[in-house]
Amino acid sequence: MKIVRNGQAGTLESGDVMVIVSPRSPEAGAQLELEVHSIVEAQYGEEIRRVVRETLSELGVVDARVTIQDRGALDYCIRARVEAAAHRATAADGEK
Amino acid sequence: MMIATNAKERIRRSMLFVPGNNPSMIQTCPIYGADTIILDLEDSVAPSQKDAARRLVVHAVRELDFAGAEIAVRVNPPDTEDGKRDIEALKHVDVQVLLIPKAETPEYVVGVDRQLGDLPTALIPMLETPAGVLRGSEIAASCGRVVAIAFGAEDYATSMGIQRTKAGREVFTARCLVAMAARACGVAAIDTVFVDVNDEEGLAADTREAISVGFEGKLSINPRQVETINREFTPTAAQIDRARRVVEAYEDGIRRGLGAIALDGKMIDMPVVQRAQTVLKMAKAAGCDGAGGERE
Repeated sequence: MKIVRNGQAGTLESGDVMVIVSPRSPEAGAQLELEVHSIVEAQYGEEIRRVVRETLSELGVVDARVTIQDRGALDYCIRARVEAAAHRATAADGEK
Repeated sequence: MMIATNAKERIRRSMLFVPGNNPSMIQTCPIYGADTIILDLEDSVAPSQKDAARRLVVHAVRELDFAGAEIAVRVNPPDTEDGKRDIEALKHVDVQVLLIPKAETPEYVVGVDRQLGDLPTALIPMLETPAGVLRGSEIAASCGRVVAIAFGAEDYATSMGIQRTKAGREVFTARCLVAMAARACGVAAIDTVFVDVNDEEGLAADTREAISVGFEGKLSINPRQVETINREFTPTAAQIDRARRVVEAYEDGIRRGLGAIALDGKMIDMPVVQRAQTVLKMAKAAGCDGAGGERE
């Protein structure tokens, strides 16, 4: 899945997470750049990163900048928001 | 296609709508004790957020524990792109029931039936327009997946160009028609929402009226309404006791080969026995068939 524009999903409400998936500069080489801000960063920062990477991998996203603003979201919510943001960041108009 | 064997018998006193794009509410909804949780993709989700809500609901159903509640999803109207995508996405997770909004024809429900293929998902069409209400029995009998039909009074009133009142006289006829259509087809009738979440007495009275015309459950838009709805639909201890005595007297009469059976000086005929059996079934399903917890 190729990221071609900014895609955003989720909210800053408690229990939710706001995810922004953006394209990176083509010269920089393919990689995932994760920026995580969480109210539970100390306890769950690594777990959040793991879930985000796993979801992007399942979607076939290998080159993107991903910003996470977490408000205590559970894993299912993180997965759903990353998926929605990534799909919104692609060129395909099929499944929105 | 075969729906789950218990899908038709399942008790659905309270069916609680939960906005499908609100993770906080989705996570906490199991604690309120609703018999059915309806994750809503239709009216409570903004048009721009339909895709995000669909994904959230799919992952929630896949990963969360809903504490034994039946999981239903109200999809968008199946003749819209969003409705078609909802149904397609939900085919991959264990949703027990789909609520089909604004059903007006049997063909509308049959289309969803076909889309579901061999999956065991049950359907509850919502009758929310005069056209839907008038074809209630055809819709209820449209396919084997239909386990209940639900009345949506708010959209019905809009379609009729009439004002809703708390007394509900303006929707009484439609309500009765929905209950009759359900009974005629052997499916359950689920009543409309009661919109004033601060009026508990009004909710109780509205629920009693629904019961009095044949409804077996009620839609709810707020967790605070669940307890009242469950209480009103649960038989009282006196009703359970009377029902037990009726069934016992009837069975005793059959054993003794009696032609006419009486209890407390009144004849017991088959409709009386069947009503008593229904009370016992409701009591058992509600967990108050002698194990304690009966209503006074």
